[in-house]
Amino acid sequence: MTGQSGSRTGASGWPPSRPHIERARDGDSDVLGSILLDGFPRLVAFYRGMGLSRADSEELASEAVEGMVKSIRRLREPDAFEGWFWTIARNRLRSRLRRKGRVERELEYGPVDDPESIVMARQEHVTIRMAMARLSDRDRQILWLREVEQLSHEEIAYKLTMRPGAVRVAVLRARRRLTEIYESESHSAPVEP
Amino acid sequence: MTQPFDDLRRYADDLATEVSPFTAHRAVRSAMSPDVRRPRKAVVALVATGLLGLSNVALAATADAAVPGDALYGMDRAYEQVFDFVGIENARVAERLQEAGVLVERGELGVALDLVQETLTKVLESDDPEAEFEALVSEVANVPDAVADVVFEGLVKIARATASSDEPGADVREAARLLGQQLRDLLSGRPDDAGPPDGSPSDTRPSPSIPEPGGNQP
Repeated sequence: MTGQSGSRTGASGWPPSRPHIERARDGDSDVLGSILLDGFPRLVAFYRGMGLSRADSEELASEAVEGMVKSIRRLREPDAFEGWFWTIARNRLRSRLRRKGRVERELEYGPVDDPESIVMARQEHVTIRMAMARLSDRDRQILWLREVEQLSHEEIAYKLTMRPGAVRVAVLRARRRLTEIYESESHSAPVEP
Repeated sequence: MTQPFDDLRRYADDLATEVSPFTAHRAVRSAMSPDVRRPRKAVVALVATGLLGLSNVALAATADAAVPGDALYGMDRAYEQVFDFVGIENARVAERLQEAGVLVERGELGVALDLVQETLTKVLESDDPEAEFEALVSEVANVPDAVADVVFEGLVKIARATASSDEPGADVREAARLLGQQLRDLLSGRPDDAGPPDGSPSDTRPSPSIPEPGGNQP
């Protein structure tokens, strides 16, 4: 994510620095709260990017944050923070999708699914949303973690329990699929008068 | 071509920006306020216990020893779900493996295998699979070899069942392979004179082998 939450350099608070992670793990609730406040919008964006509605995404992000509070003390290696963070996020998503079912979720990928959302109403996002909707769950998650969260292949490998080499191949394939679908959607999108 | 990826990042930024600070604060505050949550859980626990009936305590204790196929096993699992719901977590992995041990002793290997598979799946999908792996490994070190065999069979079955699937099979397959390696290392490192609890020979168990679907073991 490049805007409000910053780049991978950590200059703007994400990912949190190693000392901050250690303090949060060791019981500093202020630091933990600060980290989770930075992470919460990322979680919501991730879930919405995976096709969930805003309400469901916020609810799921809240559940994920609760899970993180419970398990932060078990995070032995601070460098594994992002793998840990996204593993919890992904497991919550998996559980939710199992309960809700695929069909309902796919329907939420309509051009405007949330009348109160400024983002959903933006024409500039319609093409990318429709393109993402046509990807598989796995491609969507890999692309999000790589292109948006800028996780390394090794970090994604940890999260998805894949080998880094397999992640590289999967990222390349997912990028190619998104590009093809995006171009197809661009050509078929209605032209604004 | 960078446009779709630039668009994706802008889309993600906009989605994150749309989250109100109030919502984020409320979620984090709620997650970090055990003092608020615990009384609610206590109330839920009391209500749930009341609904189940205090007179069923003895029944619950009896059901706890049940294994799949027993009349009270469904009740045992139902009680577990209630306890999990109200936050009273227990060593489920250990209990499942103990149940698998009873089933193996009864000769019901198929049911034992299903039970092990269920346990492994829960371990793999937990919030902290690494820690759960360690718990499972330590539990396997404490059970009879016959049960460890069933654990291995569970891994083999999972690996085979997911070999041709792209998702989520790849996750499970790789995780099963890693767990299998840990278990194999653990068990191969046992002292030769450490026989099973029943005193039977310890070296009769065949060496487990985890198949590598596609032959792509690193």
